[in-house]
Amino acid sequence: MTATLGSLASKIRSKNAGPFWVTIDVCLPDEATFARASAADCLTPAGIAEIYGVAPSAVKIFRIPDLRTIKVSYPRAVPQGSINDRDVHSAQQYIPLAAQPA
Amino acid sequence: MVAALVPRPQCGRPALPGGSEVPAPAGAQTMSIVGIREPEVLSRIGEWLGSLESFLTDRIPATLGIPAGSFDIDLRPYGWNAVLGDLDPAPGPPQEVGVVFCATAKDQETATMIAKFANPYLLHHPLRGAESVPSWSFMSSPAEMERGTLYTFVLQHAVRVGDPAELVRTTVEEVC
Repeated sequence: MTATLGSLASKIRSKNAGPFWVTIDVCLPDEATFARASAADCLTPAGIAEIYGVAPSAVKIFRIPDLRTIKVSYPRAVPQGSINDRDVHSAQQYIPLAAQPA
Repeated sequence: MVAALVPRPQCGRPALPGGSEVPAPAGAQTMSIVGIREPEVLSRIGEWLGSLESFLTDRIPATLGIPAGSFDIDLRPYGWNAVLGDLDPAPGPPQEVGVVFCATAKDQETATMIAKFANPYLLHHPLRGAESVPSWSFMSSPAEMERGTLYTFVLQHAVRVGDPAELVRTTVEEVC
């Protein structure tokens, strides 16, 4: 069975980054899982764009080997707290990413 | 408010970090909560929500004379996919759903008028093909709860300027 990014990671969390952006941190337990996650299709601009319905050009991905962490940022669908916002602090926006194969 | 100016030489835009965004009124909101426990509806919850939303979206302008585009209705099925919506990776049938109906309009009176119009449909909306009119479980009576003014953020973090100091007043005083 293919592992999910969530099962590979020691921690995945999401948070609002100002009222217009979401940021997700994917923390991996060791170098092997960091390398595997870094190569995962879901952790590319096209992958994030597909999961979250944003433009690939708007996606920012930072791979930080020293911390074995991959940071992903993308624009919110609606500004924080505005009409139709369902997750004021973007606290559970990591769930769809965590479910991806990795 | 004092905001530190962080130069971004590569794009010529100063950033205003932390609390510098301005929330502006985006209207007023009224909400109602209705619980669904009927397994048949829960097994077709997306279809049920979709048909209710389509019906209300069509009928509110026609019945209340409130122009389309000047109001917003939102059905949030807590217990199914209210938090993630279409992004939810596992939207299987839930055991129970609390549907939060949010009506947003230019003022509270209009938002509540929309919510009161929606009231009998939230209470009785059937699945397509149902043989009788069902009833669902309002959380409260009256169902409508007025949330007051709803705000939205309108100022972006970054402002394009020709000179990084353009938006900053500078006063120099001789102190010695």
